[in-house]
Amino acid sequence: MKRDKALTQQYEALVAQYHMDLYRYGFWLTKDKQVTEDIVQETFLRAWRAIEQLEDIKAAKGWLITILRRENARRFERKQLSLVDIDDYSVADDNESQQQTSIEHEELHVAIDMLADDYKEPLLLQSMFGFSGEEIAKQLSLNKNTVMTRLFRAKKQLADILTNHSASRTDKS
Amino acid sequence: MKTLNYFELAMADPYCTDPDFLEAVKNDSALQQAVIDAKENDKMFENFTSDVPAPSQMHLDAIKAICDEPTSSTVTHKNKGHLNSYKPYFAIAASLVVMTVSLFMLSAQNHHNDNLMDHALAHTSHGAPYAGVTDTNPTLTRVNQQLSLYGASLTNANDILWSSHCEFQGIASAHLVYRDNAERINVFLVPKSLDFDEIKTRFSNADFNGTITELSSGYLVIVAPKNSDINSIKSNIEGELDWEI
Repeated sequence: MKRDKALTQQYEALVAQYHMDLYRYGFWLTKDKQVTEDIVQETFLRAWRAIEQLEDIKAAKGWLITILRRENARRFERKQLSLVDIDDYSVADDNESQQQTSIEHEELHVAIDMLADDYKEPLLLQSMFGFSGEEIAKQLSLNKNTVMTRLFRAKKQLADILTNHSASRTDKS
Repeated sequence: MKTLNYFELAMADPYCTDPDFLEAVKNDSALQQAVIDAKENDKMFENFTSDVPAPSQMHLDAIKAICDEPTSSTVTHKNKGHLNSYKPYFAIAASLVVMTVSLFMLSAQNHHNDNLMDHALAHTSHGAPYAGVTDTNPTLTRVNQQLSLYGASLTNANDILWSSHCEFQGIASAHLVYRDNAERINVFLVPKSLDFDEIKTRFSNADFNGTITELSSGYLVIVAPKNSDINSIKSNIEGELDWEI
């Protein structure tokens, strides 16, 4: 019974520590709230079933991310398409500055969506989990130089897309 | 794949701790500015990606309920009928597992310590190599997202370098690292799920001073280096913390 209680406490600690981070990561990978909830739920279910294999609590973050990435990949194996509802991005505001912010947010949404997954994932791992280049390399089974190059290109691509959108918006006005 | 130059590296990872890169930054004001710009951009990106639709209550309930299901070991026991030929080996293995688990439990009990002060000092000392070393400078929204698990919130996160969770006797607790001039201050929000044998409002060891404030929902624990003004830090944090004070 004590062992069961200890495992349950360990699980609850994992949920408390990593649930929101995994949820946000999942959301930016899938851009669909329902799909995110499904893969995060499946991630924690698999983690719970194998929780006795988790020998070092410090390794939990990478372990959970690996499970979540596999769950996301399985989605495509099952040929389920993730649909993006354009209404999610249209926000009507009366205030001009809020409208401007909404446009910029929409552009950033589009810019992130336009990133290839190979670029998007290192960026999200760095931003959401504070991973270093080495840690991202280990998580994605890449070498560190490749990770740093992808991070640089992803950020440059985001900056370029945003600059182009701003320029075209200025032209139209 | 070609290696990035220092300006590209600054954009890719402005928090890079490579000594050659840091030396180059020190000697080049344009590179220093590139690092500052890249940190601002990273911060903006982090703020932006923090803003996601809240998960549904049904999802949160489902996540909590998962630990009511059997773990893989329980499932394996149910299927042991298929494995008769390996019974002797499993018996030996099972004995070893029982021994290991028993030793672990005994060991854990021997080191059982309900002293909140020692826990806080141990977390600070053991966590020092990594907690807050990479300055993630979380936003107030991000910090409050984490603190919402404990029903707490802050009104200011300007001096918070790092925000995460840790365990006190298996109970998840918030762990924040604040900046105080050049020092790092460790702050823990420990829910009242545990009964600690002993609570001292002031404690210390050779390197740190600590304070504990008992609130209605939990304990605010602050551990600061000896040369810090812990009273002023405590007063500031208490003023910014909403945890049913």
